[in-house]
Amino acid sequence: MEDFIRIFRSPTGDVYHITLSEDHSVLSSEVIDTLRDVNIVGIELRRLAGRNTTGHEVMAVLESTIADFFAEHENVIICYYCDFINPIPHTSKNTMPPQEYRSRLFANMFQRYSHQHGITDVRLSVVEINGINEKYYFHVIYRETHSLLASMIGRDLKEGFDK
Amino acid sequence: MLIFASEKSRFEKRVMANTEYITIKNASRKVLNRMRQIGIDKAQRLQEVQKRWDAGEYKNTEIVQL
Repeated sequence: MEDFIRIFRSPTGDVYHITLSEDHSVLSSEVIDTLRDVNIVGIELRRLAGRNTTGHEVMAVLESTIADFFAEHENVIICYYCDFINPIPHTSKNTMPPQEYRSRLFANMFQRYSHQHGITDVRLSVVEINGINEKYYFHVIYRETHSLLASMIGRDLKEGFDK
Repeated sequence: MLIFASEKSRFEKRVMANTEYITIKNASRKVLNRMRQIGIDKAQRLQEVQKRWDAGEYKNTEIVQL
């Protein structure tokens, strides 16, 4: 599957780079063998230039870019990791960690887009993995027809790394 | 992800509209280390994208003006 890459420049001059690419790196070989013709696609988003607040216009374009890609690829499950290293501009100290902020933001974007476009057969699973002092987030976007595979992916995230 | 529903001691599951929230509590050190490493690997890939941008490698790539 070819990587899908788009670069956007916002009206304020900020530049965003988004990549959707096949990524099985987080899954065990047992799950990969079960996928058959279904591709697991990861999302990587980076701001390449600018430090302005990301406006609704940019958010809407990112939502529609991902939604269009998903609509055009019937055998895709999107599975992405909310990263924690790059800070969120314009957030003060002592607020929630960046990965939690991203998880909430992306879940809200998914819900808003689904509501606005009357989408009922696509679901989002937000998997939060907790340690004593740390949290990690995976999001899985899938069609209802892929519910069983999504369950396997969730179980794999929970158990696969324990093996 | 019904697989989590029966494991109430360590896992919580909430469903809101088309979104399901699953919390895995007290993950093992091995799982947490793997999660952290996935984050580090992703950050490195994103840093590579930044380096290519800074080096002008995307100058022939279409940039969509919003």
